[in-house]
Amino acid sequence: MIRLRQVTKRYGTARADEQALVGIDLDIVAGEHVALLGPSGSGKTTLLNLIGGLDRAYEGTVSVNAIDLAPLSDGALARMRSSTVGFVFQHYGLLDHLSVVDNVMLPGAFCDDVARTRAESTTRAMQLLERVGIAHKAAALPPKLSGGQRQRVAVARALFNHPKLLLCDEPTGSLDTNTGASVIRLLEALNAEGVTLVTVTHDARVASSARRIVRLEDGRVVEDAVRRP
Amino acid sequence: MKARALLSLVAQSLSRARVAYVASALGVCVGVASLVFFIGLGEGVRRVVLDRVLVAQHVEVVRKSFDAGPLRVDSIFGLGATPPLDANAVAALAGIDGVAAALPRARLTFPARAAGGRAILGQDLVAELIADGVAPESVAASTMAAGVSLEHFVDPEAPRPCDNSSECPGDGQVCEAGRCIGLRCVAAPEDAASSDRLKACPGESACAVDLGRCLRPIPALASPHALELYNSSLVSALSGAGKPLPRLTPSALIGLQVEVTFGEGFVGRSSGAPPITRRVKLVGFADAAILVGLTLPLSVVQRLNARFNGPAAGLLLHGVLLDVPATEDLPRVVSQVRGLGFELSDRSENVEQAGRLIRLVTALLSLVSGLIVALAALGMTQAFFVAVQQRRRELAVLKALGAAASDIRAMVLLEAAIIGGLSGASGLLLGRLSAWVADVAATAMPYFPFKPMTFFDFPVWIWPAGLGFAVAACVLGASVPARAAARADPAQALNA
Ligand SMILES: Nc1ncnc2c1ncn2[C@@H]1O[C@H](COP(=O)(O)OP(=O)(O)O)[C@@H](O)[C@H]1O
Ligand SMILES: [Mg+2]
Repeated sequence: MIRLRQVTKRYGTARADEQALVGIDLDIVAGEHVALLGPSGSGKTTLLNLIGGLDRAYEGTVSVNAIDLAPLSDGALARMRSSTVGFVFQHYGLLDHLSVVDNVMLPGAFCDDVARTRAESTTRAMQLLERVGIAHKAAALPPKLSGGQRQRVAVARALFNHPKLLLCDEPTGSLDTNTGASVIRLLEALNAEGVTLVTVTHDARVASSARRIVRLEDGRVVEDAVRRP
Repeated sequence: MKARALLSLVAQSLSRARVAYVASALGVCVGVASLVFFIGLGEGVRRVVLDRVLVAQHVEVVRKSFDAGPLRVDSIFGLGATPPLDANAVAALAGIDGVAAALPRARLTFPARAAGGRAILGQDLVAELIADGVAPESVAASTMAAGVSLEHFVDPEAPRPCDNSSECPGDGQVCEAGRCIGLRCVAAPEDAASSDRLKACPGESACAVDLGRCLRPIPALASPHALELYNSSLVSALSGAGKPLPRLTPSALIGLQVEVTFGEGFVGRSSGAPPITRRVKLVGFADAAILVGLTLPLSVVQRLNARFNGPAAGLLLHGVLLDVPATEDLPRVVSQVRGLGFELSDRSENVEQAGRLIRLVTALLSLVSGLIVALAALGMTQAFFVAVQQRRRELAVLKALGAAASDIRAMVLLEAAIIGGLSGASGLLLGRLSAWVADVAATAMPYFPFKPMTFFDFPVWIWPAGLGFAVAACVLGASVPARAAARADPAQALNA
């Protein structure tokens, strides 16, 4: 599903020793749950953005679903993100002036295949909110919600366009132990349904729920291990 | 991106960020308002000045003259002699494409004096008479003819065929040898009062001593503008000295009769023929009339000119008024008039210049208004840069959710277009309202000649044009920030 070959990323005019990623080779198969570990500044977020087609300035090859991302136009890349990838951020990334249900419907605005009418969109958004257990807050504005609730909204939103790939950047990083655990269970359930999951985390419990662990240090892969169940 | 989703996203973001754009939107609104105001004012003033004051659709043709210092002469040493303004010239001028009518005009070429006015002023006044003659068709073509029926504006001495006296217009006229003619009358003694002398004939007719016949009065027209002028300024200016002068209405004046001595005035006496006396009756007010003085039927003036200055003088015209209904035809008509060897009267030259001047002033004021809008658009650029910067993370999230750069740009531009549309529409409203307030305020001003009901004239194109201008200015102002927002790297915004 995902294939990286000799991927190197520099920010601005940084010298070689300040590269965020250095010669990364990585393959992720559909349906996998990969935990990306590593100290702060090791390049985890950078790697996630490259896979998700948010960052186009890199060397090497990134392909998703056997499609090389480099030659895609901005519009084609946007369509790839919209149809294939769901993002979940540490700080939720909700639009505070939109209601919870409007936030969940946002990806539909950029995708022609899902929920053509507003009624369809609302129905789908409500189903997803039901699924993450927060339907009763559909009309609320995000600032009124707790951190765990907000992250569930963010997951529901990431799922709106039926993505095959979910990229989560420290999804429990802002949550306490209990709420974090419920988000982890949610992600595990999605993975069980066949969604490929790449999760950046410091959280040992997230790591322990993943079958494969990739550890980064100074922009290099220093460990890539599949745990036996 | 789905249009409906785009609209609702933009509406939601606008409802949140209203305050940020208020200053620039206000600028656009004020700019558009002043644009509408000044264009409306310019058009309105142009209409009043050209159509009513200068009567632009009436071009006055005169014989070409050479400006030799204080003298204006028809030719210099026989060089450059210009064609005479006569019946042939009138026919040629009438043939110009775009000219609806060519109306000849002649002046009295000898002195005359008028006596009368007791009925209105309380005493008889004697004054030098200024008069000219126009064809009855000129009156038909002129606007604002009040109480004039063309049958009143005919030469009383024009031959009128008849079979019996009942076909003649009354006042003692009888049918003699197939023509209507007044009763015979004799001169009253010189020492009798003038009213007694006039009583010698039936009805309104008076004895024309030189003919030995009773004659109906010569009809005359006066200018409605002269009346406006008298009522607005002369009344108060002249009343100060003695007893107050009355304000005059057209209906009070119509029917007024004066006794005119042709061939003799305060300035001298014609040597061509002995003076004659006729009764003159005011029959109406019309634009076609001379501004100061009385306008008589053309044939009366031509006959009198021939009597006192010879047959050639009787054929001479002093001007031809061209009726050009479509003002866009004017430039071509004017150049053809010049091609025939004639020129325009000073008045018509003024029309051309006044039109240009008003256009110029309107253009300048519109330019200033346009600058206000342009400055407001620059303010819009500033406001959008700030807004786009503040929403960097939000726009990056939208990109992560599948928005393309073009979607982000469309969102920002649509926001700008909506702001432009709303502020432009309120600007149009404000401009129209200011014009209305100005007109209401103007009603409090003292009357002056040609004072119109409204000083504004809004061409229909101004509404879509004003709105389009506001939208275009805002979209243009937001285009640079929109491009910056579209180009911003989402990865950086999300990492920050
Ligand atoms: N927008 C940026 N501009 C410059 N350097 C950056 C930027 N984002 C990240 N970096 C650098 O790239 C390296 C990797 O960053 P990041 O991928 O955010 O690490 P992690 O997510 O593992 O904490 C760090 O050294 C960081 O300073
Ligand atoms: Mg990170």
